Amino acid sequence: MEARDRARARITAILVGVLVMSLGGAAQNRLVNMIPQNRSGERNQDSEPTLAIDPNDYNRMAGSAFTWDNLTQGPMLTATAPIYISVDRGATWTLAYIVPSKMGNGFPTGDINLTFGSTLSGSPLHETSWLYGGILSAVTSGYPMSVLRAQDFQDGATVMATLDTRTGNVDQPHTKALSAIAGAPVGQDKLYVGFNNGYSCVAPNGRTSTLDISQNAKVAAPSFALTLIQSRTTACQDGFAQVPAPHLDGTVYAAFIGDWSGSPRVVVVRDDAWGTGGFTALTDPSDSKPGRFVTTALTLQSGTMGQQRLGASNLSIAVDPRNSDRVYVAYGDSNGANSETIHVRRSIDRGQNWSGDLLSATSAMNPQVAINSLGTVGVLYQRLVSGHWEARLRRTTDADATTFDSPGLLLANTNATTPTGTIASSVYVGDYASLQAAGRNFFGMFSASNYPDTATFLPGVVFQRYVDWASHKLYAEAAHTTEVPLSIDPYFFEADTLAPASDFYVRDWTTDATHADKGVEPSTNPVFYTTSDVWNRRNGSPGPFVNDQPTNQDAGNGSGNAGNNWAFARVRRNVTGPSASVTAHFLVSKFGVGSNYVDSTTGDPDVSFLDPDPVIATGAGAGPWTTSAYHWRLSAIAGNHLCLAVQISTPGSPYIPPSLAGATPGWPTTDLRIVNDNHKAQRNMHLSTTAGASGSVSDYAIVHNGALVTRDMPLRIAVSGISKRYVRNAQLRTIGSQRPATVGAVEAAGLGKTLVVPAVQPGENRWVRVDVEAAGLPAGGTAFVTVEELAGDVPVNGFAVGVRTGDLAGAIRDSLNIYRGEAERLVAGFGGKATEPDIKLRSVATGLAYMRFVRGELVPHLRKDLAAVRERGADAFDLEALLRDVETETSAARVVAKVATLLNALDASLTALQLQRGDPADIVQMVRWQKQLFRQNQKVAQLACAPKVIDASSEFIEGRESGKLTNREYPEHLKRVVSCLREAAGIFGGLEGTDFGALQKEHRAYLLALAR
Amino acid sequence: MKQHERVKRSHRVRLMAALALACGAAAIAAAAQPDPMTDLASRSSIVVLGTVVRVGASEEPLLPATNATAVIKIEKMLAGADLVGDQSGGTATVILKAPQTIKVGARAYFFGNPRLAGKTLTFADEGEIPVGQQLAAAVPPALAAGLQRRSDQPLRERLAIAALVFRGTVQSVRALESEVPGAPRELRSEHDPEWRAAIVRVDSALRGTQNGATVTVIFPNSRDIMWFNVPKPKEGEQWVFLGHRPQEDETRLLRNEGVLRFAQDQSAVVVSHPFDVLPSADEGRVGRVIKEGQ
Repeated sequence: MEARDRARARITAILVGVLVMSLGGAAQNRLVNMIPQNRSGERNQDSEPTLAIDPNDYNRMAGSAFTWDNLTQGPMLTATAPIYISVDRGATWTLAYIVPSKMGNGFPTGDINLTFGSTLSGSPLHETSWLYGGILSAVTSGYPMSVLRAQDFQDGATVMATLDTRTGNVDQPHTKALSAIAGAPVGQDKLYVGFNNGYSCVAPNGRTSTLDISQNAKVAAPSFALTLIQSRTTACQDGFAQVPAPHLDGTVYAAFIGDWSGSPRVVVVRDDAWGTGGFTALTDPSDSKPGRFVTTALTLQSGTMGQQRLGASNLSIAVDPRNSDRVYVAYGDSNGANSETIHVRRSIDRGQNWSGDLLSATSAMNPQVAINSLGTVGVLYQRLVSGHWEARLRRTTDADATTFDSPGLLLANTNATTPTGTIASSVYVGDYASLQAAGRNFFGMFSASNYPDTATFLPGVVFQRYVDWASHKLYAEAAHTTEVPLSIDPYFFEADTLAPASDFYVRDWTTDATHADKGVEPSTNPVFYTTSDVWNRRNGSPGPFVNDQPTNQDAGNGSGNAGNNWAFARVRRNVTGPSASVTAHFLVSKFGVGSNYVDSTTGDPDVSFLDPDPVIATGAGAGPWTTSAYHWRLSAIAGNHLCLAVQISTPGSPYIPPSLAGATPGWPTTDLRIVNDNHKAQRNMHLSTTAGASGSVSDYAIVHNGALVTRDMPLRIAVSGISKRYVRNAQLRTIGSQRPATVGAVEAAGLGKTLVVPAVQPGENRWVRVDVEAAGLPAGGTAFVTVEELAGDVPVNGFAVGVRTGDLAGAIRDSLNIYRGEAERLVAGFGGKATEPDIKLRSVATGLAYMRFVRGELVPHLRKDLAAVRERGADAFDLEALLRDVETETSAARVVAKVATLLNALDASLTALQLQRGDPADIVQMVRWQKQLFRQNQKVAQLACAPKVIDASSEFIEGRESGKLTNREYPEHLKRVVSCLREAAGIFGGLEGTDFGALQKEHRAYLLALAR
Repeated sequence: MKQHERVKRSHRVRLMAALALACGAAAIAAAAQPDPMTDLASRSSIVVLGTVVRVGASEEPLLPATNATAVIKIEKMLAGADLVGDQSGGTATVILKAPQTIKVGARAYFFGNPRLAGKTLTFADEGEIPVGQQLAAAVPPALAAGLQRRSDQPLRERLAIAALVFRGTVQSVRALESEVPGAPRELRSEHDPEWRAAIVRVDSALRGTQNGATVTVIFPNSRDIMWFNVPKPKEGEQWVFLGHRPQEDETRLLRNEGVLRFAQDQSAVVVSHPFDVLPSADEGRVGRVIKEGQ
């Protein structure tokens, strides 16, 4: 844990640089009064706001407040209450009358709280995610807590459907939805509604903190279940707010103030399985009961401050989207009579231990905390200063997200005595405000006076309603004839770390011209490695786009032109803006999951990165722009089953460090490095060409443990999208395991199942085989299955294998091309003699000729050469059986497919042999592992030389992550640490020389010994 | 703003009140057998007289233009100004009930309910009734009757559960919970109604009581969002009360058992809705609606 946190601290240190750079450059902060122009005559006290942002598109937002259908807060004139909606990232707002209410009632809704799920709703009119809400309903006189849903929040046509209703003494729903992007619950909208269930001492044992949970709220008739999250008896009830905070990996936190009426303390509970486990994962050492105390007993705030009542809520919780171990809470307590102090604390170990105050502010309330994709923590609060309500956003500035900027961003500084809260006076600005992080930016809502004075707002404030800034007056119409009295309005703000015009991105997925990644972080498609905007070609042309997807070609290996490859990436932004220089940096890794990426700094002898990084000079538009062709080569000895990645950067917006070089998505932490950073994308897909509409092939992939601990690696095989139509069967198997399967592990898994590759050591490579059977494919169609590496329920990485159909001639051509590459590889690096790499492809154009060639040359030649290969290692890939399989086949089309499987196995077999010699791609991982062992292994950590190793390791890692060092410094690094390694582990090798692969292999031997 | 003034404003749509007087018996007759205009008006919070300026068009960026959308120029706003202000002279987007049934230049009453309010108003049409170019200045009685029916709807609903209806004078008001012996000390929600009991002398009985009687009325004194629109009677004030016995779904709002028991023991009635307590000037209106329901 400590190592992970330190590693993250380093990363964050770099991020701080990113942040500072961004703030100094493209940052722009915006503040918008949300009352629409058409409602300029309104004088409502629109307090207690919440904001929801569509995770699929940050342009789509919904906001709520105590807003009536009428202009004067009179009894309702219709049966629907409005919410605020925007489809232009909050620049303009419209009221949509879609919340169920009741005509004649005194209020539109009681408390109201909105959240978007992140699966698209399939609305026919507008693309949008499902919008959910929790309200105290005005429809019946009992004012129950109702859970609502809208399929299309912007058409204004359909009243939100009521999904669930809870009656009794219910209060203050806090809603949060999150869609699982992997594992069994993939695509489900998890919905958590925290509420107080049984205030006024009516709940058994005074336990009132409750979550109403749906494990899939988007289905036609979702089921909900109550989970009581207070495990302790209280004097009467808990505090009114129960706030959930789910994470993509299935972790769900919730915070509440327990025992409100007795000994109130902030309590955090946790569940590690989407809320199905009863929230018992976190216990307090004082009584071993679920629910960790974050504070000692609080003196609760009471009375009023700046016309606003105190003590009704003031609790917030946020989990780091990149790491569910890190969680922050914000809360308020008494600052003496009629005053409150807010506090912010955090845990970096999943809620077990909590810091003291990282931030506190007196005379303040409504603290809201959120964490962006950079790991920056934002805190919004409202503070009474000299009779004015300040709304202020504070953000962390340091490596470890513990130090907040000061004084922060002042959003508003409005009079707290004017207007007088003539109605509903006790909720003058509301019992809470709202802060959300979306991507790298913070968005929020707060309520304040609408006295129009630019001096009291963030510069550039926009009022949609009619206003005369000079006379500080509001008007009902454009002609400025009917003056409107002051009231409380909701305000939207965006605090940019990165302005949209500077937010260039590479798509992680594209379905078609209208459905694609919009650069959100995290991206929302569970398959983020098959249709991304990074691709390879065998010539300098980017090739055609089909369904707005680039056409990828398998990499070629070999001497001369055969080894030439060109990488491309497509870059875009969502808005127009000034022209900029976008640099694209390409990397490759061996095919599978967990393999570390290499680039020009790695020193991999098999891969050459020939060109400087291409730089796109964007125009003023939104793109897309395709990079110039980036020339790279695979040597004759290299395998061509690879993953390709790109990371882009601009002077104002680098990719989120660290680089993928020497690393793999997901590790050494469970960072979702690709989906969380719209500046990175990867393509991990290998297709085999078959002849005709159906085909069965097997393909092979590496399962590399990129982590620093020995672990079981769960791999889930699935089929998605249009491939579902064609894939008839698929299976995933481990092969060549050098150890027996552990108890409980399985050796094979079918579609939808998870295969666990047991006890994989750091840096170890295992292999899996994927069998795919497809049928009914159209000409030129593709069908593939995906294999995801899971961390919890989250796919940290994945790959896809499958078939593409062609006519027989095309399939033969592809088959022979692949054979040429493998033959050349055998000759170049594995003692192959019998096979001629320059086979005469032109003479093998028909099925008959192909059959003759396969039986007469390909199989005999390979059989001879493989005898030499076998001498170097066992035939784990069962090549002889595959050769026999080819020999006995009589149909040309089926021979093509079987040769594809044979060559896939041969490629894997040769790569496995290569990897036995060590792998330069793993060098950084080895140094990370070394550092961790010298810090955490008690025996080793006690050595006098240990600090030196740790320091040297840190220096090397940071140099590699920042791009300041290449692997050329690796031998020198090993010289610095070798004596200590020997002292700790004995002698396993000299750790000398310049062969990076050999050095890495020796280094790993030391570390394995240490780890034992 | 004085509470009395606010309540008056809330419960009396000025235009509708005038219209109701003008229509008199005609409106009552229309309510018995509503004509289409009355029916449409009773279902519509927005009623405008306007002229179609574009069909297949929309002024609302969130609403794509279809053959079911039209843009109208508003000549007169007969209902809905309380929702979005007086839009007379401006334009609005109408989502037509029946697509392609209206042409550019057509002048009609448009009846509907709000969908979107942004830079301009968008409302969904319940229907429209064409009118000639030379419209009389007066509002058609059938339309006035429909508007009145709509404004009476909450009143009808409250009368449906009211046990006692009367105009009365508040004799005294006291905090109820302090009067309840043995009531447990409880924590309150921020939405706590803060019940009070008013002793009210019946000046004019309309249902279930008689002149001169004394009635205990329980009302929420809270100014929380859920209660601030319910009038807070003060000693000496005169109101029309529509008191009901505690309803099943509001028993939990009678926060503790003591309040509920008090209500039962004292034969008290509860007023918990904006239309449960009306200005005394509304006595005639309340009496009329009671008669209409008989």
